[in-house]
Amino acid sequence: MPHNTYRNSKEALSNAKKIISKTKCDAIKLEGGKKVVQIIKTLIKNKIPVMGHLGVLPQSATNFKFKGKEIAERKIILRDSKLLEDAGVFSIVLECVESSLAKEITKTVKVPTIGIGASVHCDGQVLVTDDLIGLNKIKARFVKRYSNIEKQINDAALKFKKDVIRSKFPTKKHSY
Amino acid sequence: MNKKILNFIKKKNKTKIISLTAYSKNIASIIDRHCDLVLVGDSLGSVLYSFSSTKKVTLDMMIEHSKSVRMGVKKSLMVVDMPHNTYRNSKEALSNAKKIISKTKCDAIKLEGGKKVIQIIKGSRHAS
Repeated sequence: MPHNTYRNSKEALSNAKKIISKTKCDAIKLEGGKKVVQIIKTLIKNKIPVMGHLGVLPQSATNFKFKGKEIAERKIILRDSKLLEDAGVFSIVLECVESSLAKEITKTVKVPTIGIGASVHCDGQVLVTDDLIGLNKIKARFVKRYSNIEKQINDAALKFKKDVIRSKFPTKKHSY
Repeated sequence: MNKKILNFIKKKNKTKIISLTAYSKNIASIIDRHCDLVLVGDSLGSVLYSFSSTKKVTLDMMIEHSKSVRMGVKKSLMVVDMPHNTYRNSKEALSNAKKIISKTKCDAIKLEGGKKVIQIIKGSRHAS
């Protein structure tokens, strides 16, 4: 759910219902810990499956440094993960969380943790597909580029251009 | 007339013209290198939304995708399709075309039809 669409339970429920009815998605995800627990409970009471999101929270973050360096911060994130689990989330995304903290959270909560920049200890991983395939130029530490689709698209467009210039496309086969 | 459009017209009988569609920034920025014209086609209805025809495509869908494409298109002429039922008369067409141009900063719009839409096209050209 995007920024400023779940500032209170009423707003969250109305917007979550709208997302679900219009998109037919299976669940929604929202960012935050203790602050959004009541909202999450309201959604789940209304049969809307919720995925949590802890660590770096892009919708409210002022910087994108990883979380869990300081003990106080670690305690809050660990506490929040338990609060989310108790509220009934079916899974929690951990974004840019220090490795040992991600490991501790994953051990502690019964629902699956999905990491992005949160170490190998999470139950699963998520990446932005455009980053994975090399379509989006991002230089974050947590991204690994598995393909260079940018080059393949570029090559295809270039071949098309050459064929058009030389009147090699379209041939009879591709004409009416 | 927009300088980009004049340059586009000048290519006739001189060089072939390269055009491709794009519906989002990342692809637009790659094809922009090789294109003269990038079209945000209402074909996005079938390509991205599995609509059985382009008739279900809305003005808002065209505008949102075009805003993304705009980020990627630097040198090509950027043209946006006006979707079905958004240019049924001159007034409607002008209002919607202005909306598309102001919101997406595209260079031109494209619409379908011959004699039926002549008055609409004339109104639109007059306004520019």
